Amino acid sequence: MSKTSRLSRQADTAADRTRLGQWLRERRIEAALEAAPLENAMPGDAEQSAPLPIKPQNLMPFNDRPVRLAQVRLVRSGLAAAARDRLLYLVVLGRPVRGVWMAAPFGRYTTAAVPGEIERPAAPVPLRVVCLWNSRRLPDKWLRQCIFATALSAEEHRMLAAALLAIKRGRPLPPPLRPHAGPPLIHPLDPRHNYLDEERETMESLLIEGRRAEGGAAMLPPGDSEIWRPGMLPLAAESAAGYGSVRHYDSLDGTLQLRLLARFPSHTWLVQALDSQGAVTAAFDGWCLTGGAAAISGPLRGGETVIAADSVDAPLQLVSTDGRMQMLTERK
Amino acid sequence: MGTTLADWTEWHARCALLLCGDAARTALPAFVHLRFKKYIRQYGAYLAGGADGALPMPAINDAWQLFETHLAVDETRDGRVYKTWLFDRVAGSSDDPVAVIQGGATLLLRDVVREYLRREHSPAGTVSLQAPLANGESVWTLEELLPDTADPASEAARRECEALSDGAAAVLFETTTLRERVAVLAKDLGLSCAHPDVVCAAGCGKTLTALAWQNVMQRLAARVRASFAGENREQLSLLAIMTATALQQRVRGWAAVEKNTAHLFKLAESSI
Repeated sequence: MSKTSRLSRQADTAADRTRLGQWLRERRIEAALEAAPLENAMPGDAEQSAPLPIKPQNLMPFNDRPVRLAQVRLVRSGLAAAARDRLLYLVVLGRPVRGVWMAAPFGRYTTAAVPGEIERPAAPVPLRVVCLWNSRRLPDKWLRQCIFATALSAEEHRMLAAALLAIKRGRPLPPPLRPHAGPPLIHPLDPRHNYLDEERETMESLLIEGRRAEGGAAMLPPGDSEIWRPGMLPLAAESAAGYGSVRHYDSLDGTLQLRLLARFPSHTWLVQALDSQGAVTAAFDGWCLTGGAAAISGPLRGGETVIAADSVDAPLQLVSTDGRMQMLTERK
Repeated sequence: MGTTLADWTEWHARCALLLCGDAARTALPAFVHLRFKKYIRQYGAYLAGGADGALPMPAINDAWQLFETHLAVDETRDGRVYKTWLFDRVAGSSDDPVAVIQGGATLLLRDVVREYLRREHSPAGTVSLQAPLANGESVWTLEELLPDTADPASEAARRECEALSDGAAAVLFETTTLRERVAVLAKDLGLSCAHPDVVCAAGCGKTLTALAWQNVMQRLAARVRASFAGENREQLSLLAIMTATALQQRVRGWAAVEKNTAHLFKLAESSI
C-alpha cells in the first residue's frame, strides 16, 4: 500500500467542478480569440475615412450626475489604459468616507471564478459577475468621470454590500448568494491564479493612472492614507488586523488563544495558536480544530493551520490525538 | 465594403440601426459579420482538427443583433454607454478615427463572440473530471484542482502526508531565490505581482516576478512527482497542495522579519 493511499474523499464538489469547467471553457475561448488579434482596419477602410464632421466625444454629452450607492458606471477609455481595451464597469457598493467610495468591478466572464465573485444570472452579459474580491476605494471626483450606465435595485445592492462585508470579515456569504459564488481556489497551479493577477493589475493600474492624472491628489492624498484602511470604512467598522480581517477565540481555561486571519481570495482563515503573551506557540502542534462533530482542519504545525472561511459557523474545539479537548469561545 | 465615420456617427446619434440611412444599415452589419466570421474561423483553427465547418455562424443581421444586445446593460439610452466608450477612444488617439472606432468595435465583438461560442458551441457539463484541462495554462484536471476534503477518519494518513509535504517544502524553500519568495508571498497575500512595491521587493520587473511564481510552483510539482513517484495523481495533487501551503507558511515566516518584504503585509492589509 502506498504511503498516502488511505486518504479518501468525502465532500460533494460537483457544482463547483461544473462551474469551474464552465469558467475554464470561457477562458479557453478567449485565449483562442486573442491568439491572433485582428487588425483594426480592413483593407479599403482608409480611403473611406473622411474628416471628422463633429467631435465624436461630444455626441453623447458627458453625464455629470452625482455618484450614488448602487450605481453602475463605465470607466471612460481615456481614464486608464486598462479601460481602453475593454468595457470596465464598476458598481458603487459602500458609502463614501471623506469623498472616497467603495466600488467593485464586473468580471470579464459570465461564470464566477472564485468565492469572492458572485454571479447574477438574470443580468445583462457585461454585468453578469460582480468581483467583490477586487473592490477598491475610489474618490468621488474620479468616479464622476465614469459614465453612469444603470443602477442595481436597492435589494440587490444591500445583498452585495452584505456579501462584501462577509468576504472582508472572512464570514460566510448571505445564504441567497451562496449558490452564485465561484468555486474555491485550492491548487497552486490553478490557472485562475493568472486570471486573478490580471484582474488585480487592471484595478491597480486604474488606481495608479488615475492618481497620476489627478497629480497624485485625488486618488490617494499624501498624508491622508488612513482613509484607505479597512477600519475607516463604514462597512468595516469592526476591528481589523493582519491582512483582511481577524477573529479571536479563547479557551475556557485561558491558556490558549486562537487568532483567525482572513485570506483573500481563497476565502480561508489562517489559524494561529497564541500563548498568553500573544506570541505564536507550537505547544498545540498536532491538535486539530473541530466544528460541531467534524474536523475542519489538519493538525497545527508551527502553531498554524488553515481552515475554510465558512467552517467557523459552529462552536470551535481544539482536539488532540489522545482525545484531550479545548473548548473555544469567540472574543467579542 | 468598408465603413465610414458617417456610418458610425449616424448609428451613435440615432441610437438604433433601423433609424439610420441605407449606407449605415448596409455597412455596419457587414463589418460586424465579417469580423464575427474571422473570429469564428480563428476559434475553429484553434480547435483540434480545425473544425471550422462544425461551428455555428449567425446570419448577418443576427450577428449585428448579437453585437448590439450583448453590450447593452439597460433598455435605456444610458444602458448603451458602450457607444460613448467607442467614440471616446477616438479622442485619445491620433490615428484615423474610423480605424480607431473599428478597432474598438472589434475588441467588443471579441467578447460577443466568446459569449456566443460559450452558449452555442460549448457542450455544457461534459468536462471530464480526469481529462487534462490543457488550456495552455494548466495540465491539471478538474478533480485535481478541486479535490474533495479528506475524510477526518483518515486523519492519521493526513498527518503523514503533512509531514511529507512539510519536508518537501523545507527542501524547496532552501532552493528558492529572493524573487521567488517575494512572488510566493505576493500570491499568498493577494497582491498583484505587478504592484510597484512587490516589483521593488523582488528586484526585477513584473513579468519576471510573475514568472518566478510559475517557476517555483512548477519546481514544486516536479519535486512532488519525483519524491512520491509511486502515488496516483489524486494523491500527488493533494501532496502538491499541502506542499504549497507549507511553502507559503515558510515564506510568510521569512518575510515577516525581512526588511524588504515586511511592509507587504501592511500593504495587503490596506488593499481591501
